[in-house]
Amino acid sequence: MFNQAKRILLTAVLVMPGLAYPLQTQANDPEWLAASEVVSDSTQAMIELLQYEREEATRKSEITGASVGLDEQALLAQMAIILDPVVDFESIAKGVMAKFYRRASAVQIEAFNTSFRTSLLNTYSRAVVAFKINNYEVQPNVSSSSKPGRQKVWVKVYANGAAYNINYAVKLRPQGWKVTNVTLDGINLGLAFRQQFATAMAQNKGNMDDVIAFWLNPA
Amino acid sequence: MINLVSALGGQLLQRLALLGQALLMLLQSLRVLPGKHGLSRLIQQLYVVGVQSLIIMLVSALFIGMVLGLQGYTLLSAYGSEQAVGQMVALTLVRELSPVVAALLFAGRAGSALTAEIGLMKATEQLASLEMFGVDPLHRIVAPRFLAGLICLPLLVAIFSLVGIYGGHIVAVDWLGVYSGSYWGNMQQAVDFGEDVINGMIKALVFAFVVSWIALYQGYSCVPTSQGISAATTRTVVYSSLAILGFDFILTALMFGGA
Amino acid sequence: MHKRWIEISVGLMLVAGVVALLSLALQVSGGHLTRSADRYPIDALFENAAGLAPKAQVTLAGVTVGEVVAVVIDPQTLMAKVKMQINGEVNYLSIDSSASILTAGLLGEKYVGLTVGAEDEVLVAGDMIEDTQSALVLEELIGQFLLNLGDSN
Repeated sequence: MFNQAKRILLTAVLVMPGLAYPLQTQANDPEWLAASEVVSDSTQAMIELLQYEREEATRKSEITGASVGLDEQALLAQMAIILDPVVDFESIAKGVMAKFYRRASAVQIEAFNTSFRTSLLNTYSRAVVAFKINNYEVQPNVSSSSKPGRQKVWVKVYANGAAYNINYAVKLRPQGWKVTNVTLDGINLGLAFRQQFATAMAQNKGNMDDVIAFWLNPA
Repeated sequence: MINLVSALGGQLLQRLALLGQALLMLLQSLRVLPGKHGLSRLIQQLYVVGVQSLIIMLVSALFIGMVLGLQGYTLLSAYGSEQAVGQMVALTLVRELSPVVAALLFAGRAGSALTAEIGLMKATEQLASLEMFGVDPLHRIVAPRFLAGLICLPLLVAIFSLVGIYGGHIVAVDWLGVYSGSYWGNMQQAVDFGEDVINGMIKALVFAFVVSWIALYQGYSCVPTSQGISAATTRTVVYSSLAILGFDFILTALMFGGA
Repeated sequence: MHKRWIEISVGLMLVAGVVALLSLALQVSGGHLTRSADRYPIDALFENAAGLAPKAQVTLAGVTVGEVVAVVIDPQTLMAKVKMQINGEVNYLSIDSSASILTAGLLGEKYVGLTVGAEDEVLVAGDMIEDTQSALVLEELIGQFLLNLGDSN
């Protein structure tokens, strides 16, 4: 009986380092750590920004006595400051244009980059305000990346009492780690935009300028 | 109580002995495949076993294909998928119905004929007199018939499938208005040569082996009276049918069970 | 004379059998025999590949350009790896192409739809597509959408 216990203990001691090894390589993967830090920091900054703007709005309401909504312009401007260094808008826009990128002139590409970034920031700020995100959790890494310079960071975001699983595809650019795609609850947003662009091109009979204008003002 | 158990045990031993005898007959006849003049004997048997079964195969295949087309159309139109009837007819035939039905018909037509023929030879002492002349009856009589069975049934199964599919085409396309392009197109997408056609042929080969073996053994080992011959013929058809259906389940489970 | 007829009929039966087998191979099962030589393998990683089976079609703009060969787990990324064989003449899949699992027909067969991206560099044999969309989510969404429509009515 005692011998058996000794044997089990010995096996456990010998096996443990072996078990720890794969877990160690994933959790301590320096690339993933760097990428997840970028995601975590910017999410944290977003939440703090929202909180600040809400407090500002409440303060102004108390002063004027009338109900003041969130300062959307300020929110948008601040959000752009947070997101510009960590989101690769140009790369995302290129992926959205997909096969039409090759037919586009440099002027059109530039125009679409601008309107896409603006519309994305608009949509995102409205979503963030509407959803009242109050907390987030970066999920521990359980798998290793297939290529160097590419990581996937899973974040669980809590808003309005519901939890949303967001996956950030992050790539290492010369300026640092940048988000190149977002998957929200399983929906690949980059791909969804790509399909929207293609549909818009079909609807506008291949006129890219119309599509770019439409993107900014989906009337 | 003890008597019952010993009786069961005795029965079991007897069955095992019969199985052993059958296996020995098979092995001996395989070892001595047709030699000189063997080819003409083989061709003769191919005619008796194969060509004379063609009519029943063709007619059955045609009607089975037509029924499949009709029933398939009725069933699928409930889901708005009538265009898939070609796929349904082809897969049903190639995977299951052609090997099984053709083998059952084969057992009934050719198998029983083989049993009766050899039984009659045994009853009229022809087998004994061949042995007296130093000719191995297994070599001269059994082996060509076994080989003929092995060759004919797979060919008949292929013909059965094709005729059945055309039967389905007649009903579905010409009569019920399914678009001919969809009939063949869906079928080509769904039927895989390696998985469906080849597996059907493997089944046909297994059935051919089993039916020929049972038919020849029953004939070879029957009681050499007219009553014995008729009993043996009945046994051929019954045992063959049971073996076909049993092996069909096993083979289907092996081949298609995983997916 | 009788013997002659026997030989002829046996010969005819053999020919008919072989012809039937050939027809089954070519007309009934679509004759895959020649095409496997000039295909190249491409893999795609999906979070969820439920319902996708080997032999499903791979399409580009609705046209079949290949076939799913296997669906396995990639032990490194813990995602579903779908192995595909793409026809040789389809050599214009950019490296940022995307793959989605879509549903076809009333019986709900799953297939893979590719969309070409913007990059000039193309996928070659053995490359991996990581920009993917799993099927289940879209169907759940459509289901939820219809449910909400029903509720609001």
